[in-house]
Amino acid sequence: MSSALHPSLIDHFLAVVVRYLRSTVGVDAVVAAIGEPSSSPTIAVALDFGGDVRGPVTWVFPEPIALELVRRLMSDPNPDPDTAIDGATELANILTGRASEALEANGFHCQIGVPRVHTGDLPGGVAVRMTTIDGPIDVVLSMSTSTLKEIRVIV
Amino acid sequence: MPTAIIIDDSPIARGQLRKLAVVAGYTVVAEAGSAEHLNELYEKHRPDLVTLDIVMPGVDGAAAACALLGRHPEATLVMVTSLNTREKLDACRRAGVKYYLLKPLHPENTVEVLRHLATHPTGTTAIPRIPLIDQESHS
Repeated sequence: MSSALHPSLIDHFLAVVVRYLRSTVGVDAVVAAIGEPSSSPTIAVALDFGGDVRGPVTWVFPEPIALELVRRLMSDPNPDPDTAIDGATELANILTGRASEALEANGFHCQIGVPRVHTGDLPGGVAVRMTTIDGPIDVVLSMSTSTLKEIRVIV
Repeated sequence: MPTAIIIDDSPIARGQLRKLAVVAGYTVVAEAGSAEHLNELYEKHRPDLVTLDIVMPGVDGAAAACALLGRHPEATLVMVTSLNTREKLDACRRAGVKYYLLKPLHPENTVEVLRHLATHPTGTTAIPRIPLIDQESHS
């Protein structure tokens, strides 16, 4: 049996994401909406969770934010736009890895898979839109937790 | 001049580590996007430092670290990862890994750590253990 992520777990996850967006790409992000994902086709980066939390987290970044990571990591003031996917992939990797600490802190031990480019409609799940000066960042949390584990953690 | 091998599936992360390693005084003798051939690369180049991501396609960094340190306990290995979960870190510790850098990397602190390792290779008794270094807390 599994259940959707508890709202408090989502809040904790997003708080870590916002913190690391600031330190990684200098972006101040504000959670603006939580709801169903839009069905518009897009290119995104997904990582799969395993362990006590299962399912993918999918990220959609505006190109300027993906390129800002490349700019910062490579010390390249004018990164090639073709590197935006690599930047988005590494940013998704950093944010997911660090935000997984929120899951661990709540007693959910998890593994994370290799980032992969997701093409097409976003998957179902809790869709979160964060607004930034460079455009919106969308993250879809399609993970679920083991019900038994959740009960044990809460108890 | 000390030498380094960089293993990370992200070309951006490899590029950053290459730049920082050079600033720290290393010559980067090899890079790879997976740990599949880490042992061969190590035996070919005998580097002073190996940086290794944890989550990668194929062989993951923890398993690769275990294999490398099993054959070459003298290797100086730094895990460079965004993953701070207990299971993977425990696996790395069990493998004998002593050094971790957490992404996002803080450039100055990373250079400092790499310079330290160049002058204090694993196996000498005088090195203070470098704990899990959370780069963000230094920024």
